[in-house]
Amino acid sequence: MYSALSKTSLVLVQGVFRQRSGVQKNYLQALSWAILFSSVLVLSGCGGSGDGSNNSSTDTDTDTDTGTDTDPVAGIASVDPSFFLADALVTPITEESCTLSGGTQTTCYRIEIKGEPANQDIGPFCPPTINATAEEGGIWFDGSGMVYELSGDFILDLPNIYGDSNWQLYDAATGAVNITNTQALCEAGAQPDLPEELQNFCVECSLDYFGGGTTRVFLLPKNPVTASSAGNIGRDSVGVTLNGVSMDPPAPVDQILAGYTIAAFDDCGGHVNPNAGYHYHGATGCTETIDQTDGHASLLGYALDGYGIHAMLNTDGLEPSDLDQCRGHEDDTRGYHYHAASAGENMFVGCLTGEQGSVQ
Amino acid sequence: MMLSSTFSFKLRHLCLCFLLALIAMPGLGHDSPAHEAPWAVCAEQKLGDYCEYENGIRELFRGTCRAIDTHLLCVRNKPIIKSEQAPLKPAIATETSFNPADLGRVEPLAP
Repeated sequence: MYSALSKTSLVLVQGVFRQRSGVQKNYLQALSWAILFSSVLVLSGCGGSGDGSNNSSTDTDTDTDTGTDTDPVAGIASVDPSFFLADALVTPITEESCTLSGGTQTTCYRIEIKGEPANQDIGPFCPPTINATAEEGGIWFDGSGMVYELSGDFILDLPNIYGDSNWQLYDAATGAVNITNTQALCEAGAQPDLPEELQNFCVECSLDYFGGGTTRVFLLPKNPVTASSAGNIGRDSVGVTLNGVSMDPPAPVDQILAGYTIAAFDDCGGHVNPNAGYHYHGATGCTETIDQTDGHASLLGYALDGYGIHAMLNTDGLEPSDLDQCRGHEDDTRGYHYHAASAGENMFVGCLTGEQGSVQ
Repeated sequence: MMLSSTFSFKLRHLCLCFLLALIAMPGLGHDSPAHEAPWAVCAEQKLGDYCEYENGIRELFRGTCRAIDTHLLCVRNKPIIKSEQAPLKPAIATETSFNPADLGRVEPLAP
């Protein structure tokens, strides 16, 4: 679109130039070209595809940030097995030897989760019709910082929200929302590069298709070890909540939207896919089970490096202003710990400060 | 008459160019979906660079470009700055501090 705009702009300016001649023309030409050139420069500067298709190398963390962010330090807090809800676990938490991502050999807690939340019901996800209220559907967030309620109005507004008239997630004759309501559709809808017949669906899956929750084993260091440099977020879980659910990295929103699909979340920011089972992509309040006595944000789980992940806001409604680039900081009570981002940002933390355990 | 004509032409010409410049300015002619902003602002940046972006309801997010899988994403680490101006899309978008418990549909904690 921008290149088309630039071409249009160019034609318009050239057309004006053809109407005049002489010194006056030269003066105005110079001025016009200067403005046009500046415009093109600005346009090319905002040409991010949004699919993250940059060429930046991110295999290793060569962070040289020298800004004012607080450098993470070794914390005093560590994983407390008693904080996990018993119903979240397949077996009681045990200890075993482990090797962390930085090569440190230490003791880890072995935490095997059931893969379904111990303190909440799953769903609803997609609104059934274009007349559905917000209570009949879950939520959607795309990383922009906004959280949308999945009502019929949202379904109708999709062409405006994403600026594309090809969005039509419903049957115009009946008003029924196109929902992946079988296992085959659920599995197909979770794939990239959707064929046209699978586009324009609200994708939801039931745990019943997969025999219940997907059990996963987390090995979290009993005593966190600060890494030599912050660890990047990959495709694996970034942590586990106290109610037994994996905290996953940002959902691949561009891929989802490219197929004209909405991978609906329930109100707790989780959804089901064939590989990971039920998992969270954002913190919405469902998992905050350990209140703090000093007004600090409650603890909702632990990151893969063993540091605690707390809610975004303290009880006074404010967010700490000294978070480092991973969204962590230190205090005297908890040591180093993270604060989850808002659900609308489609993430929990931005990187991992400590050497990581593992998840299977 | 000649001066008047020249002035009129200059004025029209400058207005046209000013309009083109406005179209090219980010946030005015830029109609990319808001969800692309956290990725787009880091597309030409390095790991650890400062970044900021604004969403569809004029909230400002400031942070650092961090690697998520193979791409860089602006990870906010400063409190969100909410604009005092009217939101662009108040009808459906909710606050980022959305709490589903407000809807009364979240099961209470297990004892």
